[in-house]
Amino acid sequence: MNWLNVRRLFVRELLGQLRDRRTLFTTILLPVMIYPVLGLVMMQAAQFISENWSQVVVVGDFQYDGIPELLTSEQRDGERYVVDESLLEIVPEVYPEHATLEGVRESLQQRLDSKEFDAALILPPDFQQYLEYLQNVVRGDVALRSEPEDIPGPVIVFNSVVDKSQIARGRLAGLLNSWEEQVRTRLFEIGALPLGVATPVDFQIQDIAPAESQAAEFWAGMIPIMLLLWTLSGAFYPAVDLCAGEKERGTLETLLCGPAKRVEIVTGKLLTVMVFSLATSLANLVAIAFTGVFMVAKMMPEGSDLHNKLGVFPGWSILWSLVVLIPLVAMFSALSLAAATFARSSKEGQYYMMPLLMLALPLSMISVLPNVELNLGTSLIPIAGSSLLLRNLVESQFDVAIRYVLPVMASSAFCCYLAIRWATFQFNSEAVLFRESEKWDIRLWLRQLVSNKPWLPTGGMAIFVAVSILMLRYLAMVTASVPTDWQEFVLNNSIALMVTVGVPAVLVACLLTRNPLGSMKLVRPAPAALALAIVLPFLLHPAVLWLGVGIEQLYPLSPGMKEAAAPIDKMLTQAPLWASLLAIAIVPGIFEELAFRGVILTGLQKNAKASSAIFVSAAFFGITHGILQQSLNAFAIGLLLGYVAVRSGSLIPTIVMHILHNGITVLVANFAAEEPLSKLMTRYDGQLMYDPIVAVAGFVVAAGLLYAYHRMTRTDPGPLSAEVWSDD
Amino acid sequence: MIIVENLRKSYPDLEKGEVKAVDGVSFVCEPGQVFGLLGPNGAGKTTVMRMLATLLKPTSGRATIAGFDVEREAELVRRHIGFVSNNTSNYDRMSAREMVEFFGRLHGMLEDELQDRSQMIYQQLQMTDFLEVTGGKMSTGMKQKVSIARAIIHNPPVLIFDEASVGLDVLVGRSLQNAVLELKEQGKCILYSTHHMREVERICDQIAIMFNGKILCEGSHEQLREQFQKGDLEDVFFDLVEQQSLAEPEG
Repeated sequence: MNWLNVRRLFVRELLGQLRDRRTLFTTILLPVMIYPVLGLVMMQAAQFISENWSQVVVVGDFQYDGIPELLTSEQRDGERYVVDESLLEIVPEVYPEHATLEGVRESLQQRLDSKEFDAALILPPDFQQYLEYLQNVVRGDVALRSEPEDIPGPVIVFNSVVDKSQIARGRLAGLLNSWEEQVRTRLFEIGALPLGVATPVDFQIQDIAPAESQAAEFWAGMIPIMLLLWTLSGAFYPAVDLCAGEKERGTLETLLCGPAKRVEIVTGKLLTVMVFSLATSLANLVAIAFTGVFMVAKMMPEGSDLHNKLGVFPGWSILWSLVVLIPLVAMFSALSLAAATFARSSKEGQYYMMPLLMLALPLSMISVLPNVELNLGTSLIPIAGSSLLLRNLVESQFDVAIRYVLPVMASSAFCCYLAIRWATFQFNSEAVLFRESEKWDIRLWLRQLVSNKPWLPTGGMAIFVAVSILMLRYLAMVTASVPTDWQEFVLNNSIALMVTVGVPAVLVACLLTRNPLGSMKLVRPAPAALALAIVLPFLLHPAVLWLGVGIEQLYPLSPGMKEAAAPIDKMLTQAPLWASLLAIAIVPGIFEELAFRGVILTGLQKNAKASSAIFVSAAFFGITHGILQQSLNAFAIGLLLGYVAVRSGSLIPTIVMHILHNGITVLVANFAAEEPLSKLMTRYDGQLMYDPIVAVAGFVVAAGLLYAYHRMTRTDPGPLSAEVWSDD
Repeated sequence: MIIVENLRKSYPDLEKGEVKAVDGVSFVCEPGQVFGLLGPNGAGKTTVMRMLATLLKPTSGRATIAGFDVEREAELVRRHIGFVSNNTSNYDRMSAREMVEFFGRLHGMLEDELQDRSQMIYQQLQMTDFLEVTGGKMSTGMKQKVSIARAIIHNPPVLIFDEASVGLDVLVGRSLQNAVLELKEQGKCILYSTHHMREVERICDQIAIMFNGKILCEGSHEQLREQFQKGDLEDVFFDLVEQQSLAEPEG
């Protein structure tokens, strides 16, 4: 790559974007303006709400002998009472003679519906008698009744759907709470009792978290989400203009027929998009900090309702978030660039924003979930790790943050690398760069599918099979019942795998291609490949089991998951060996291979380099396993199986490997404690595991064999040449 | 020098299945020669030129430009060509000078060399009046001049003009033709496609007429008139296209 060219391209693109008012407005000006404007609006709104008085009706007598008054004569203003500190205007009404509490409530409800007032308080007549009785009891004049006391207390009537009524209810409850305090104190005075009797266990809470951390919890959750979303949108708009926009204007073709390599063009554009994404994030951070420091503090002073609910704004410390932003900006920029390259026009480019948002939003929301902490496992999850790290930085928990900066950066850098590769692939694909808009006609498309079948599956067919499998697996998962015995488990599991994984692949290979066997790579393998396939599972099984342990350390299984898996494990121990081997080794070994290393990998190889095809097929293989821990393990195994399938050109070795690997797992689960297997085992965390030395030795020998096989097989030809796809 | 041997390009089409956009095209264009590609819309001229400019990969066949293979040595090919097409626009937010110099620098030209050559080209193409005008504010003629300047700034031995005269008025069209003739005089190898027969007659030394992805005939202006016994190139063209349309009604 010529970095001088990259610099030239970057400067040109940057200049072009800086001269575009729309981009500048969306990426810099809008984020700067939006928070102060929002802050001002909220300040106005808060003022508006706080200055509104609540109109309340109190039905019943509220002057009681010997008890502090609920409403005092000083609060009286003509026919009504005004409670300044609670913003209440109270109109007293007489409790209707002989009316039941239910009747009064119904009548108030009707008046409340017609918005005559915001809320009402009913003080039933027998409530007065009850207070008199309590005074007599504490004085010792009457004995405590033995029967349960069922005296109706004051009742607040309000409408929770109407905001004003909700506010009035809160204010009334506050008024009653403070009156209750006064009444309690009075009753204790009458009975000459210490106030401590009311709260005999008066405990204290000591929070050792730094004040700034505990106060900033709400903001620490919210700021990462806002920042991540703005980073994405800051990347997306320039990316659309630099790719889809240039396609539309015809300047992309000018650039592509120039001397710069595609990777240089992609890098130049990527750097430009990154600059704008970073600028948007920076503008956001400064705007959030400025609004927070100068406006939020005014809007919600200490002790105010909002202050209690939302905590203290973390202030300028949020600028620490910049540390995490760089890799995140790079990742979002590359993703946006790849998505935007796919679009034919700026308008089409806007449509691709939503899928990216749908991907980023749930992952960034992790920062507001309770009980999700930054650890090695979460730090490796793209976007989510960054979001959690941001939260820790905003909370000033630097000691935690610093431990996971590297894993977060590494994970983001890896995703960024993948996204850049995707973007470069798009720039190398003439189908993407020069595709014309054509009228979509489902009849024509179906006719083409049937009458003009390709020799081997296409990339589109591969993705179709993969997505179909995912959807069918999901459907099977939500509709399946829990098996009651091992026979049912073996039968259900085998049929489900055949139908959800095998059938889509076989159907596509048979109905939509002219070479079904070749589409599933069902060709005779070389003896060396077969020999390797027989040896590798034995050598690698210990390492794969340890990999599983490592993954579970990173992402521990939840108790619920363990509980759900326990009956299945128990059932399998009861099943005869042949049944376990059938359900766990043979059926998955055949049908998963037909699908993932067969049709999907072959189809992906048509449009992408072998390495990319292996990666994507392994990713689909992993996702199909449903549970994260299993998915990661399956992904790693999928990479190896994919490599062997590509190098050998045949599915037979991978079927052998898959069956043997799963079969060994079944055998180890059954016979680990017995000779001769037990000699290779050691106890780890309460379960029998291979001795680490066995795992390392097996891995080293397997790596050596794979290297030798790599040397003796043909070199990677890149995307399979056009000739392979035609039978001419 | 351009050497094209049995070049083919096909792509899937929803309606027709597989479309053979270019179907076994072969020709040679020598230095100091203008090779004209004539044909109706959809004949495959642009696809041939895009393959030669390394924008598209041939399905089969071979082509070399200045001795470099368009498929295997795409980057070297791009360094030795200048490509002007009605699909290659200028940047709206860049001035004429910035545009030309940007491409010169991308070609690795040294600053002194770039300044000397760009000044010469600005004079030659009469661009000095609008050097600071940005792409968005240029007339069609100005844009075409900038495109030519951008394509020849690095002094490539091979030039490809794909319907470069579309939308130009008579005056600008004539100045484009003059520029092409001047480049030919400099010994450039020029591939030129157009719909205008007069233009072809005036500037092309060798002409190939394309239809449905194939070259129907090839020769000099005089040779073609003689071969088909017609008064001018337009008659030759209409006769050939008509015959082919009758022979391949579904083409």
